Parts: sequence; structure tokens; C-alpha cells
Amino acid sequence: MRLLLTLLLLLSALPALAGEPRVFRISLDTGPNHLRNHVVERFAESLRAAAGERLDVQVFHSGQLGKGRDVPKALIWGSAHMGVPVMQHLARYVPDANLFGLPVFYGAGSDAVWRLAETSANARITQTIERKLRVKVLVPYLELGETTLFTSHPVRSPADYAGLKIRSIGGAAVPVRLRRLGANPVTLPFADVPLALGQGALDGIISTYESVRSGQLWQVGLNHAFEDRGEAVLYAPMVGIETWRALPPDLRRALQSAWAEAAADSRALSARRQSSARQAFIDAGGAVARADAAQLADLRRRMRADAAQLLRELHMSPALLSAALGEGDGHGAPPAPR
Amino acid sequence: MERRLRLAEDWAIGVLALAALGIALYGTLTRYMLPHFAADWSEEAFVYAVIWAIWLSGGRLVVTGGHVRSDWLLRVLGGRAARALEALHSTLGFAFCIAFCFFGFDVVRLALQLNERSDSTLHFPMALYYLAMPVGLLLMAARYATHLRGVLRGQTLPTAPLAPGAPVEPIAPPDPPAPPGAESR
Repeated sequence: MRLLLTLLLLLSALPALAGEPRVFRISLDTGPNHLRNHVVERFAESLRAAAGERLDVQVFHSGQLGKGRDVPKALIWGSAHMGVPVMQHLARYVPDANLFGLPVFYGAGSDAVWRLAETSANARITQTIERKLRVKVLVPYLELGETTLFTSHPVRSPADYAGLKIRSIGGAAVPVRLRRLGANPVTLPFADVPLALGQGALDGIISTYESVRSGQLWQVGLNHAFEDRGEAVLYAPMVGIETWRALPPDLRRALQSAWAEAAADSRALSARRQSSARQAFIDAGGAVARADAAQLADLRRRMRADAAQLLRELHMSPALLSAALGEGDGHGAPPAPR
Repeated sequence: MERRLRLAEDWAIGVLALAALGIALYGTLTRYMLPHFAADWSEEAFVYAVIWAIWLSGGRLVVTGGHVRSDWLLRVLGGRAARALEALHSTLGFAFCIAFCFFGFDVVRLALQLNERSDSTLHFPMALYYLAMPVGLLLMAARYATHLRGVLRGQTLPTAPLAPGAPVEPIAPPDPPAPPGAESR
């Protein structure tokens, strides 16, 4: 097997020896209109400009090179050289990556999550991801936006979650949070949501305005939004370590700066897109309710009391949460930037 | 040995199919009637059981000639040509299964190395799921080897029915060698 891999590596190096550009494939599992694809296309353009003839940067949209959750394996096998998977998907390999979706941060908002990303706890998670998945994680992360609860009937406070059947987004942390709130998490493909709503198998979904607009889901009865800032969806850009090591130092620097440049204003871009999607939801007759901040803070405090059990359920390191919270204000809010 | 293997496969496939049915029923009923008891992992567990059952049934299909292939061609050719084609088919089938079994184990090895778990609260070890593929291919490879031996020894070749419900028409084995002096009688 090693001999075969060595031969394959040698074969893949032949174009470089012959002076041909090295192929650099980027795998994305969302469509070209998605925020992530937009940012990655900008990154690819900058990288092409910086690398000139040395790199042939190719962006593959809509899961042509595999699903987002399989990005780490695609990077190891060499079928892709870079990916930008959702942080929750990495929890399949590194359970501590569930940190950002933990119920103890429910409703804390994306500013708090970004501060959490700058803690030493997240630095340790990144190190584990890099070591275990054999990747180089680029900074900064990319944010899609905060999640909202969309339902077919009004929800005005977290207490109204009780008894609802809610489709969860990926990862194990969100179903756990839904159970803590008294809701019943349902796992369904996004494409099956309209049918499940019609059949009464579902009362709502956790998603973003952008995703709801993309599916025009108000047409199938999702006319109520409860803005409880459930969690911020983060993407972690990563390059396979073999690819990274094979790049000359100047190309590595070019790659890092191209990413930093492309992702620099992504939060503002994400906010603009979510805001325009929110307006489209309201224009289509959608009703929006906002969660009370004090209520959310109280819920976070109560969920912290149960943190040890929570970490066990999610197979996370027992010390991780205290490390993350220890650097915070001690009242359930994530830490301030260092 | 073959009889024991078949029995074990039948039991395993039956248990897995029943488990899949039970999980699907539980998932559907709880989702509509008792949502508090609904599990977020019922769909994935259903898939694991069905995929394992499918891979385990691959070996049996080799024995009964149930895999997709051109039975019509074998019937038209008949005799030695059909037998030669069957030998080639078994050899290719064996080589294909062994090669993909090798790659399948590599997938399992990587999943073990990364300790890959499912997204749900079940945290199912994905290596156990991926293992279905190399195990199924190994069972198929063993059956192709047995089948090839049978073909070379002149045993009856299995062919699948031409249409649902139609009787199996085995291709006749080559004529047995005539006893010495038979031509003169």
C-alpha cells in the first residue's frame, strides 16, 4: 500500500517537475450562490493572481468532490487539496469541535462565539484537528450567520420549544440542546422538509434566513421566525498537510494572505445577506419574534449546571468547557477577546 | 462448510432486515405519535442495518447466479464457450472483489485511525459501518473462487431466471467422456 501511495505521489509530482502548474482542488458542498462559495471564489482569484503559472486553482461546487463531512478524508486521500467544512462536521473526528454548538452558549450570539474562537481552548481544538486529521487550518474562520428557529406557528419564548418536533442542523450538540429545551429533535434531509411539514412530522427547523430564502420555505408554512441566536455556523478552512508541505514557502504565505484577504469582510457580507434574506421573509408575510436576552442568559446559567453530563454525552474532554469558560466572565457568557 | 456459511448468512441477513424494519417502524411511529421518544439516530441506524444486509447477501447471489450479467449470452453460446465465458467471469469477479476488498479495508483503517463517529448522539463508530463493504466483497470473492473451481471441474452452471417467476434453466454440463469402446457398440 505504501509503495502504491509513493508511486502515486511521484506521478502527481511529475507535472511540477515538467514545469506544469500544480493542481490545487478546493472542495465545497454548497451551490455557487452560497456565501461560502462566494468567499472561496474570491480567495481562488487572489491565489491565482499571486501564484501565477505555478498553481492551477480549481473550485468544485455542490459536493462534486464529496460531502462536507468527508473533506478531511478527501484531503488525506488527495482527491481534494483544500476544503472549508462546517465546524460541527469536524466533531465526527474531534468531538471537542462541538464546543461552538454547546447549549451553554445558546443565544450568546456570534460576537461571543468569535471571542470563544480566540481562546486557548479553541487553540487546543485546532491543534488536535491539525494533528489528527493531518491538515493545516487557516485563519480566520468563516461565518454563515446565527441560526433562527422557523416554525409553522408562533414561538415567542424558549419555553415554547417544549413538545415541538424540530429538524436539527448537523452535529450532535444541537439535538442535545433541543432536548434540554423540551423539544424533540428530528433528523431529516433538507429536501424532505416541505413534505414532513405537510404531513405533521415536523413543526419547524433550525436554520438561517439565507437557507430559508433559498428554499422559499415560507411557501410550505414556515411563516414564523424566533430569533434566539441558537448558534453561529462557522466554517474551518483547511489544507491537507501533504499539499501544504509540498508548497514552497512563498506560495504558503500567498495562500494564507489570500485567504485572510478573502475572509476579512465575510462577517459583514454574511450580515448583509442574512439581513436581505430576513427582509424577503418579512415581505413574504413572515412574522418575526426576538428572544429576551435575560431569559437566554438565565437558560445558559441553568445549562451550565448540567455541563459535566453534557460533555459526557458528547464525548468531549471534561476540562475543555472549564478552560473555555474560565477565560470568560464566569456568568455563562463566553470570554472576552484576549 | 458452505452449508454452515449459508446458514450464518441467512440468519445475519434476516436479523439485520428485521432490525431495519423495527428501527424504521419505531422512527416513524414515534415521530408522529410519541415524539418525546423519537431518536435522532433512527434513520442512520436503519441505513447501517440495510447496507450490512445488502453486502452480506452478495455472496449468496454469486452462488445462485443472481448478480446482474448476460444470462442470454451464456444460453446462446452454450457448452464449452459458455463454460469458458463463465470461467473468465468468475476470474474477473474474484479479482475485482479482492481489489475492492483491499481498498475497503483501507477505508476502514482510516476511519479507525481518525476514530470517525456518526453525527448523531449515537456516536456510531463509522469503521463498523464501512466494514460491511470489505466483508461482503470477501464473501463474494470466496464464492467466485468456489464457483471457478466448479466451472473448471464441469459442474452445472447456475443461471438466473429469465423473468420473475420463470424457472431456472441450468446450462447443461459438457457431455461426459464416452466409455472406452462405446463408439463401436
